[in-house]
Amino acid sequence: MDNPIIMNKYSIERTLGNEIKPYNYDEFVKNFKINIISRSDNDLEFDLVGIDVAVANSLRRVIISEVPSMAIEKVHIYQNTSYILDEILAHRLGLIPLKADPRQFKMKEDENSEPNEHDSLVYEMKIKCTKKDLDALAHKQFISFPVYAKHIKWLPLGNQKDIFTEKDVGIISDDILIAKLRPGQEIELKMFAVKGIPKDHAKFQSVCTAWYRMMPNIKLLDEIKGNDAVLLQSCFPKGVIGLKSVKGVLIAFVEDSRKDNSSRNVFRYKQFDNKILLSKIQDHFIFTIESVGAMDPSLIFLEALNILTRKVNSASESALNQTEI
Amino acid sequence: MYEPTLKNLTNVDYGKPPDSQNQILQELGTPHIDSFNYMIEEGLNLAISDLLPVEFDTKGKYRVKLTLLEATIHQPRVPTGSLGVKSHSIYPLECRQRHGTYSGRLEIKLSWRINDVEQMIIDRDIGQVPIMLKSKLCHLEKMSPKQLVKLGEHQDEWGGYFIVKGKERLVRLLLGTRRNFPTAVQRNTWKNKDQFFSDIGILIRCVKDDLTTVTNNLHYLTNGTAKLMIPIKKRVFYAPIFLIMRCLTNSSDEFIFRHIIKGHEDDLYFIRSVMEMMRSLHESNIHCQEDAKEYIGILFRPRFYELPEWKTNKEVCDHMLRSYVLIHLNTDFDKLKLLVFMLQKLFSVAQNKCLIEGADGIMMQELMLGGHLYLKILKEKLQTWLNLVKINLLKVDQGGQPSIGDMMTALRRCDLIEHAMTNFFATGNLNSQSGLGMQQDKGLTILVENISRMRYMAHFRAVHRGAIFESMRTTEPRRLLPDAWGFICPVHTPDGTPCGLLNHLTKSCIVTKSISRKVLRDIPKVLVSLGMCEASYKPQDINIGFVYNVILDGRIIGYVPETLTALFIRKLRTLKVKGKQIPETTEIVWLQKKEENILGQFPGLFLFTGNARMMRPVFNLDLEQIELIGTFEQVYLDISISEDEIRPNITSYREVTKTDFLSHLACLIPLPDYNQSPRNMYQCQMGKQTMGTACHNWHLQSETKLYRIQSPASPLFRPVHYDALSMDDFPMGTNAVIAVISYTGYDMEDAMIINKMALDRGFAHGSIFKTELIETKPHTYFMRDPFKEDLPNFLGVDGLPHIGLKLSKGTPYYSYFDEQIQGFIIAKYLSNEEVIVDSVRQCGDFTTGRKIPNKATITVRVQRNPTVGDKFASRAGQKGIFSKGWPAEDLPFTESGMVPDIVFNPHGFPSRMTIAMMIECMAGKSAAVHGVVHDATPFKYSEEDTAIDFFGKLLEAGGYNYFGTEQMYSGVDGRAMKASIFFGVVHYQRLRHMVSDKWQVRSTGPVDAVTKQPVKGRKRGGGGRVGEMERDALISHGTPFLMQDRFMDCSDKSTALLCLKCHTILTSLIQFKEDSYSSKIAKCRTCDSTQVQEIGIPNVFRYLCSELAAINIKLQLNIEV
Amino acid sequence: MITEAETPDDAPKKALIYIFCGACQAENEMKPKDPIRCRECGYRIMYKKRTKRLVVFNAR
Repeated sequence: MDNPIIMNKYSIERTLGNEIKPYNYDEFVKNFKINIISRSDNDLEFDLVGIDVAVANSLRRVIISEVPSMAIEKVHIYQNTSYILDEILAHRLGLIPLKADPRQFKMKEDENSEPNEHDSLVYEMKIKCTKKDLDALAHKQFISFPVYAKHIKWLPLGNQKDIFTEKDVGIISDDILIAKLRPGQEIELKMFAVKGIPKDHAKFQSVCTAWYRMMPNIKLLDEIKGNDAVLLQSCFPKGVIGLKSVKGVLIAFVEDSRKDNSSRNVFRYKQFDNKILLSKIQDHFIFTIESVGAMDPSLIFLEALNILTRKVNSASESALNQTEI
Repeated sequence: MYEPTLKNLTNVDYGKPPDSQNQILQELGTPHIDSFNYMIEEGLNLAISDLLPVEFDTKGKYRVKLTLLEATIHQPRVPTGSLGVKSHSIYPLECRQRHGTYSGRLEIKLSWRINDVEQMIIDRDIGQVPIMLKSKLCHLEKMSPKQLVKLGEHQDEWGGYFIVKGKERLVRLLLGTRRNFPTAVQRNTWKNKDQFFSDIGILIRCVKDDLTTVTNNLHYLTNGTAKLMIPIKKRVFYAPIFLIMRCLTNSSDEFIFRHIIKGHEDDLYFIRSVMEMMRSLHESNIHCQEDAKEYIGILFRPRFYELPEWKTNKEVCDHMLRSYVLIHLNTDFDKLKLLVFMLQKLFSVAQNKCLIEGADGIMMQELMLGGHLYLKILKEKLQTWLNLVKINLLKVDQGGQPSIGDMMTALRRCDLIEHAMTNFFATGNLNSQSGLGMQQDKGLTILVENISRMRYMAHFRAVHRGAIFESMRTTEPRRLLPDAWGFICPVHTPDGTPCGLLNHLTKSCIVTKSISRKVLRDIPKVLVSLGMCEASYKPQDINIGFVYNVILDGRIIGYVPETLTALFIRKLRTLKVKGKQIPETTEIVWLQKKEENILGQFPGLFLFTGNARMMRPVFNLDLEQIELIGTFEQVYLDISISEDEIRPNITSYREVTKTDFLSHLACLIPLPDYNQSPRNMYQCQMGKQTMGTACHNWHLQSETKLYRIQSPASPLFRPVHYDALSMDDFPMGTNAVIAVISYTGYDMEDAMIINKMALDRGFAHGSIFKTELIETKPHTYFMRDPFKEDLPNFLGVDGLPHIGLKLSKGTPYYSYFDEQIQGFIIAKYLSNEEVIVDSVRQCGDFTTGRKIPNKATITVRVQRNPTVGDKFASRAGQKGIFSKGWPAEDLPFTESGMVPDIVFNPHGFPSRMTIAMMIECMAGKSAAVHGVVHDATPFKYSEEDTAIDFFGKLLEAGGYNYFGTEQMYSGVDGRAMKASIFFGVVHYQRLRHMVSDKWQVRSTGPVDAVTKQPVKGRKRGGGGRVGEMERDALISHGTPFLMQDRFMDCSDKSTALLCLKCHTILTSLIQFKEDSYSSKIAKCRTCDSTQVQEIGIPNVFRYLCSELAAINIKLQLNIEV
Repeated sequence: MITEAETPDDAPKKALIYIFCGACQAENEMKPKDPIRCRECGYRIMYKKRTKRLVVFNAR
């Protein structure tokens, strides 16, 4: 890309601005690329190249605030003699991530309607601590009995029993601590999970976070060698600057700009003035999605694309309708 | 050096009571407890033996003498004969929960004699008196943390307060004039006392061992004489000094004269004055001791109605001298010696040969402690009680010899002193005949509010200068004087009315307790062995040169020749540091004679061993040991702060730590030395208003109001003192990720936006616990009305609400049966806020007639999650109002995907200069990256070794920018931001001020009965006042309609009928027309005119007209129609 | 506020109040009008037990 962002000591300089190119679909198709850099069960890092910052940001925003997921919304407390207060317990339960795939559920239309198999999941927790339970704990130093997510049981509604197993819709991890009980204390409650979007409440987030950064580009304008080269290497995260030995003299070279995190510490040293150029490539986004675990991060990305498309369609539709009138 | 650590949180034993209590926290209660223990162990019986026996004649001329022999206060126990009770002790928790008083029986031994024949000694309980927690009488005194926790107390409970009617009350530490030291004072008001009175005097506050206090002033009169002020029962008398001296000795005039002028032989004015004073006494025909005593006896007899009429005038005079003149001295000779000293000092001050000392410096002050005040009150109450016995005995007296039966009847009729004592602690109001030598009789006790740990702790170290100074216009007593260094924290004082008057002791300051009587008795002997000469006033004393008087606790015990003094003091100090023969808490003050033309304090060598003085440890460089020094002592010592400041042969002491001059709270501020000073003062106030973890036993609490934060965190940047005070046990804030950026416009003027998703996830969530004591009338008991069908949804069979029930306005709250009206009464919940019932306790009692349950405490909790308008603050006096929960996707994010919890406006920094907050931002980030906590102890960093560089390097090592900034992307348009943003972790506190408690809105509502204007006050649904300044603003804006709306239409608009003939609005009425009953007409009743105009006026105006009419002023209105 | 009733003694007597002691945690049963005193240890403050009742909370 010809128009990078130049990074100075305290600020950045945009070289874009006066020469915005007209949008050209063919050119976009030619240039646009997605490279998957790394993926695991919950994390996905990929490069989004050749796209406008607005689109990248829209995707980020949709992932964070509009991709729906399932979460506990109502808690019916029948008994709670633990030290944790009813409302705090309910809040904690709400934040527990569920494994259920939100695509298999509908949004609840009326908040107060009876839960049914299409829009809700029901869980139950009944636990009472006795002296025996406490003594049976492996960790002898515990003075209270920990209640974990594994003590939550799924109650199938309608035909849910046939479609899902507890594994599909249960809690994401068995060892999420919910409360601690002393002998004689008990908790008995029912939970109702519904589908919702994070804009409404953070518990509906399907990602821990999702963000991008612009691809850094580091250029050495002059040869840097000797101790300066070592110093230069220390100004960047590991792997950004490499050192090679030419005739016994260490010479710095750019190994991998990608690993830079824009700390700009290099600008603190006078000896590097005008010898190094830090810039960011404006249409190259390093995108990271960290899923909570209910959905594969790539699915979350696709879901976000769908939502964004729907939004664009409805916007263009209403724009068209406007012009017709 | 200590380093802060996270170990106490990660320790596997966290939460288990330790083996011993935290010593620093225990010291918070120590001064209070020591004073109370002194009362129990010594003071009370000293006071008893000092009581005046009550003597009187009965009708049958039997001479009765009542004397109290002994008084004992017992531990709090259940009344004897209570059945089925396992533990006979009453513990504080029960009193808290029942809203009762933690008190023990006061038992006395009364001896009575008839015609000097001893009768049977009577043992009697005269009521329950409050007992200080953790004192010798408290069950908790020696308990281990484990035992305390078992009883529902905190492991670090330090006591020192009383529980009265369920509330924790503490006797406020009051600063008062140093006892038994003649202070030179200048007071303008003294000039107006009488003719010739000047503004100069020597003030001495005499305090006996039983803490009885009398202040005597020796006034200088401009005619060259001196008068001694003697206060008797709230009235003052001025006696010529030589009259009093004459009463005290029968020695020759020459003997007295020689001793007075000793050391002042060249002061001709003084000599002349003394001679003149002596002469004038002879002119009044008083020539010897007998004459003087007779004279005084006749004069004062009417004042001492408590003395029986058969006492001679001489005995009356002796009583006066014993109880009202220099009462700390027991012999006439000692009193005489001190009077001589005072007279010398007075003339020296009056002739400007030495300096005025003034009572405002901390060096001239000591403290008034709870136990000591308790003793004073108790002593007076016992004396009153003794007189009451006399009155009641005379009432039952039939003329015969009083029998034991008569005595018992009289005793039964005497009021118990329980009520008086409880009442004092509950209200803080002193109800006393003599005033007890106190300058104030209100606000002596305070409620120990437990809003947060900081607030709670601060109460115990707070010292007040006295309520009268609060209303004084001068700022003199509010000044921070140099002698306060190390004793009074310069940072921790509120702003506003109590500024400078309500102070806090520094963390190293201790309050002395009484030393053993035996050691005290032997001190003069020790001093003699060190080279002191005993003061015997022998003729040969007169001829030696200049000497320093040695004055031990206000008693002249000897003198040291000038040349030997320095050595004498060095030896004395060595013994003091050893602490055996001379107690460690002795204060040695050597007021050296100054050279010619240099003014100083009047010379002398003063030793103080009494209790209630402030002292602090410093390092003695000569002896290489810690020595305690007092406020007065410090002024004459050379103390360096750090090692490099020591000047050889001059500096003799070094501070133990650099932070010794700060209070506990000031020491909890991170790097206060980097802040502008007022910010530290603000932080001291705000720390105390923080919602935090006030206690651990939430389910046992029945405090009226408690705040609780839900998921508090331990700060990542903290002074070592934080760990020393075990603050991790009572955390009170959250580590918030902040971005210093002016982002949305919702962060102007100290507003701050908070990430909405952070709020969703529980950021700064909290609740309030409120407890209400419900005590229905006697003959009623709690029970649910069985005939109301929906009641079981709210109340249990016991007539009290279910636990976990949500209550809102109008919900049934409790129900009880009234036996007198034979019906059920259902009380509704009245507050507007929705609450949840947390716990319900039924409280039984020992008092008879209360067998049926009619007392319960109901604790409810209110959820208080942050809402717009709530107050937050960092630990650098930077407070802000939460202005909007901002969606996370709209907030800027960093290269690593971080989104701030709080957006802080950079405009908050330049004018406030809270550099510590910036450092904290970097330090917090570094701590989070490296997984450590950083030290924020004051004075840790210097110009050479700056904090910025230290944390900058750490950040660099963690892969961040050295300056703590980061590249951020706008959350709205996604572009990289031009400037790099200062981004880090800061510990934020949520303050208890919440909109839910403060919002006030009104369209229409209650109005005042007289003016018809809206009432004020949020509770009553009143309005906010649009006052004069607001009016000015509206006028200058040129908005007449808005003015009309505010001041008329929305206020007290009314219509009035104005008679156009007599121009008044008071006379017209609407009447039926004379001939018809269908149509009405307005008519003036005085001039019968029908020319009446209806006009709109504010109702108060009509009121004004009628008020004026009542004083014969007619208000005429000329209007143009 | 005040409702007419014959006497509370006419009301069903079987209704028992379940409370537990603040000191020894022992469960006590009592009838209305009984004095507040733990039968086990004689302690004077009794806590009301939480009974099983439905309370609905929003998990937010």
